[in-house]
Amino acid sequence: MARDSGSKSAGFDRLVHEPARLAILTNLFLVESADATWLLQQTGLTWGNLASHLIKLEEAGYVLVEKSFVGKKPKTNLSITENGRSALLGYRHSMLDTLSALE
Amino acid sequence: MHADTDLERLEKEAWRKFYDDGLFDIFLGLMLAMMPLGLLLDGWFPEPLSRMLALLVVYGSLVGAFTLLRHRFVKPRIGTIKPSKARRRKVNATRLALAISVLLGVIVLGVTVALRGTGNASFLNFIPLLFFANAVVVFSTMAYFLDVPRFHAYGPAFGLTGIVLILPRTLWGIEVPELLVFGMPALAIITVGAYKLVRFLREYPVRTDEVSLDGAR
Repeated sequence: MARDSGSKSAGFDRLVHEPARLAILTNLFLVESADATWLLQQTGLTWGNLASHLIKLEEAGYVLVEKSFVGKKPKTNLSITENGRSALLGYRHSMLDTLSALE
Repeated sequence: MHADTDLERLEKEAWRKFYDDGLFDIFLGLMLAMMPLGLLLDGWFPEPLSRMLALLVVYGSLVGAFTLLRHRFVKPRIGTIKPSKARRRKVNATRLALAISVLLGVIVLGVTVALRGTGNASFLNFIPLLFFANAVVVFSTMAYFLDVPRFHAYGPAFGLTGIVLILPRTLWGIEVPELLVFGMPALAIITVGAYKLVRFLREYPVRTDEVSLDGAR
């Protein structure tokens, strides 16, 4: 489900603009997929924070969350979707444009 | 929390963390330390085939232990990833370089065995140089493609052993103890690995299970 344009202001996707979500998307952009442990280490977030931000990103269709079990242990596999990639690159472009205009 | 946008640098940093646990360094150091074992096995297993099998068992056990330790101690702390296509290409290039290196090693070993006892043994004097070049190329390739700069130093550390062992013997008839030749660089590499391992274990505690992430569904 893609988020409507109401979440965008001044050319920025506010869903991506939030620092924790930006860190999640950026890190998932670097790899094809990763487990939650890797993402926790990379972002420095707590489990609770990570979970709440992932819900928002998953609802927006930016992140794919796949749950499975390895033996008896739950494993969460995460990957960025094409929508997520476009959103992140679009955000990066807007941010660079804005910042370069300040120089 | 990091919100950097320099993607290429971030990717390198993220990837490099998978070599920051020090286990691979300890593995390399042990491989180097065990090289004199091949010479020892000459006496224990006179048959080339049984000697080769014994070496395979020893090195196979080392690889098995390394894999098990990574699985038990590293993965729960740092997690796992499926790398990007660009990174996978780099990893494959490294594997190709390693395969070529092993192939060259086997060819040189074959030529050495064939020339022993013949009149063309002068070729044997060049083997340490070939070994040095091979080690430098392989480790530099690993350092470049895996983005782990310290591997550049490991090539000469491996490669010089052959030169230090054979050159003084050939030129001046001096026998340098094998323990010293292989042990010193091995000890240096293992020390680097042990330091990195301790730091890694401190820096990356085991995270609790992922039950709380069930909410993300």
